[in-house]
Amino acid sequence: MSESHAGARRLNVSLVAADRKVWQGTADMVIARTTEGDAGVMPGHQPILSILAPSVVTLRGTEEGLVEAVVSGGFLSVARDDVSILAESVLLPSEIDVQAARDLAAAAREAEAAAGDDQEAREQAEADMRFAEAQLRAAGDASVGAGAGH
Amino acid sequence: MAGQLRVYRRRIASVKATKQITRAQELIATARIVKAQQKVAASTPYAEEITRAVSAVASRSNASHALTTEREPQPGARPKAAVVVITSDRGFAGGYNSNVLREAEQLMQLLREQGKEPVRYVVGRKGVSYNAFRDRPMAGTWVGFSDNPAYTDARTVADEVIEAFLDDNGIDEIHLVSTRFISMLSQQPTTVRILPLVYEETSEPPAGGVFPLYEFEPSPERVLDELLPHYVRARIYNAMLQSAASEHAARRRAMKSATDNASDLIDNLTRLANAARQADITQEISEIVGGANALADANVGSD
Repeated sequence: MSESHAGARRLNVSLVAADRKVWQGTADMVIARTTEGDAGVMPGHQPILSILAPSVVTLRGTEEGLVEAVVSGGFLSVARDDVSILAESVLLPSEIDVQAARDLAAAAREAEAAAGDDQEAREQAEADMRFAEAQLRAAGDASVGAGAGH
Repeated sequence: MAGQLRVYRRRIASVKATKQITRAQELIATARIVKAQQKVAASTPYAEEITRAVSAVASRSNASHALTTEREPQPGARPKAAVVVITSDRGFAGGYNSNVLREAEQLMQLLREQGKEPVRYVVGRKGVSYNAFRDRPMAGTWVGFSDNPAYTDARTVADEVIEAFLDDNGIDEIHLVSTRFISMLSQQPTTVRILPLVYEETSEPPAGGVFPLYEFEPSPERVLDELLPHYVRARIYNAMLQSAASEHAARRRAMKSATDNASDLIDNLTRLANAARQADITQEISEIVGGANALADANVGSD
């Protein structure tokens, strides 16, 4: 895939978690889900700074081919073909602990049920749920979608 | 006289035991500094990126935001300023804790002079007991992770402070007092105001070049809303990691000088013990010789 783009402009992408740099390299395209909807970023994109939803971020055309990572939310910043994805937690598929993700989903479901009218707690529970679901999806777990609350 | 020697020997044994302990502490601290430094380095990219993003929104958007503008004090009420102090859980670290606590006291004095009311948030058992002993109120205390803080620890602390900040009757400023790790030999207690943001008038371009004309999605205000808690957490996390590295460095230095002192003491005591033993022997010999001479004199007299 990358040969066809030899010489073309590429994106410098870094995936940064709160306590480490998870991935750095070049890619042809970055697909991320912002709070406004899915966004695809290609070289020459206008500078943006947007809020990410807990989701799977996809990088196309890197040296390793397709790279996926799960983010717990955070930010997408694009400037001069430099793309930074910042999140408190960024996980590559190999780092996902399926059991931990299932536990998180279960805990989030309970928290959502217990939240009642507490808007903040409800939002937190939903964010946790989406993060857990994104992890399970990226890890290729079959039980995805069970109890999806949105 | 033999009693003297026994006293010296007992003291040597006790100093040796102390030396073993301080030596072990020194080695442990040395091993942990490296790890703590690596954690500081690993957290730096995130802190830098978040800071850059915050600066970009704050400088470009003209967004008048609760988190970036100083609040008008309510009539009749003194503005409150949160002071987050990061200390260690354990002692044996020389002046580490007293330095950072002194820095905090100075800051609070300054705030009082400005007519503000300081509110304490204390991290680390040493800081908590320092304030508890003096019967000073603390709005929040956290202990148990000072030597190896995780991001979730920083989050717990930051979220409580942010909540108080966003509350209308809560605090108006957030100050952070921690120890900056400069090198193995030098650590500096520092004070920063995290919120409201401190604007610096400068003609120099920010690190990493001038900010491009970002488009903020969904809106600058929303992005700032979302960014600032992350910013506070990242700042507190970074301060905790630096303080942890400083704590280990301070402990290593304190334990090294304690070990050196113990070695000197052992040398001196050994010398004294040797002298005491020599004195014992000399006295014993002179007693024997004296006794023999006396006997010989007595025999000469009887002949």
